[in-house]
Amino acid sequence: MSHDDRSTPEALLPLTPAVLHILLSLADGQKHGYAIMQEVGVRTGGAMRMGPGTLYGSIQRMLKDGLIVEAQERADAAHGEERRRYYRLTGFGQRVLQAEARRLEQLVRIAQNKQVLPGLGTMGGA
Amino acid sequence: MEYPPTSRDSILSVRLYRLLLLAYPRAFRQEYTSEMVLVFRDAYREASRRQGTLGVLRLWSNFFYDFVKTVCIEHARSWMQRGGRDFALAGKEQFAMTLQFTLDVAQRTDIGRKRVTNEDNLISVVPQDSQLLQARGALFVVSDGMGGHNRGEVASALAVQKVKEYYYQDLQDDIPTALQEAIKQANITVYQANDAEKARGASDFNMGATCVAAVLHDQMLYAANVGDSRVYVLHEGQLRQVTCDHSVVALLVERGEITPAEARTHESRNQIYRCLGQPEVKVDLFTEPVQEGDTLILCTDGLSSVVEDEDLRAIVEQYGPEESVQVLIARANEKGGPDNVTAIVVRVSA
Repeated sequence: MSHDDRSTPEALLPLTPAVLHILLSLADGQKHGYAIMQEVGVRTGGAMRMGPGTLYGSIQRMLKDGLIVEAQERADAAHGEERRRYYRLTGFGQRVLQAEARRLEQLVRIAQNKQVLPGLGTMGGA
Repeated sequence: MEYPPTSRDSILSVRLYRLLLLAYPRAFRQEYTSEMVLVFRDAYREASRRQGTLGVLRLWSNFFYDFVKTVCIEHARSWMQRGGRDFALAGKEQFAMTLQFTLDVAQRTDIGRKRVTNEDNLISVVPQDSQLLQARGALFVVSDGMGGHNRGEVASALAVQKVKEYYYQDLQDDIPTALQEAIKQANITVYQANDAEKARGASDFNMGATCVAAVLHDQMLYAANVGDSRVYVLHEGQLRQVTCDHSVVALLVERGEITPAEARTHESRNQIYRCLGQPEVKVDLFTEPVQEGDTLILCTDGLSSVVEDEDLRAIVEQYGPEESVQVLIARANEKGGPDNVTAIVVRVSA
């Protein structure tokens, strides 16, 4: 599907965990597949284990939806000499990520108000 | 180099993984095999460096699980693309192997024979946008207003409109909760409208409405109700009332004090104990699977109190949705048309 009929980022929400984490890992610059996987693993303390199938399946759809684009292919000194595909966020991808973050923030606020997470109010203080 | 020298095991593992990748659809494979192999090799090196054999075993179990899951997903996706269907999955991994149903919808409301106004309202929403349809499903709402002086009409119009608005604005994944919340929000809107009128000096202003709403989404029916408007499902020739009325007679029937037939003529047949327009309202929810060939019926008590279930079943089974709503309303009017009559009939086909 082209993204003509999804002019608003909200139309893509909610994102799957894989898509959200890939967008987040690209938020601070372009990365190749393995670097994305590593970052997601580290940032979630190993809780989110994204395999290559999930990673590239998501990437394929994100390219199609215009959330990311392929940056120039090049070698990564830290991971051998092979040339790899790098991906980076598009402006639309950035807006979708922002919209999702806002949506999640609202959810957290509801959870706080309903005292589902009683400790949350004092987060940072404890 | 911080990596251990390439071991025989690692070469074998990479080869094995490359073989597995043959299971993906051709287009996906051509695009991503080399990248996936690189990722596998990097991950293998790191796992083996950090945790040795245990790390390698963990890696294989994670990647194998990922492999099985995504092979299925990619095949289903490529199969659907070949079929020319645009499912607009938008990164939904749980898109399941379901095809969207086609819905044939008819709806009608009638003043009946005895009333001077029609205080019923109804709405059917089958989103044209395939993405929205996929995400939120189709929504049907019927409401029977009360309050006199045309206020019932206002209350039921507010009810159907607000349920629609709130339901499609709510982005949460949990469809049944979103549906219940939408009805609760509509209740607040009606309640506040009452309050506003009272503040303007109309001390007797007290409008209310029943509300029954049904969502068809991903082969499931979610029905939610307040009051005595109903959802029925006709499945393989059997008619079943899905919702339970919040009416005095329904309680009496449940307690075995009167029969369903007696309920139709009971002096309290018009009394309900839940409606929109209260400070707070409890919304009941009913969930069940739907299949191709099933028919969904939403109606107000103007229909169900005069047209018997057996009649309803026979009519909906015999006719298509458009004719069904016409015949149902005609039948209610033949039986005296004591109240406004409203019906939505939705046939589910593949």
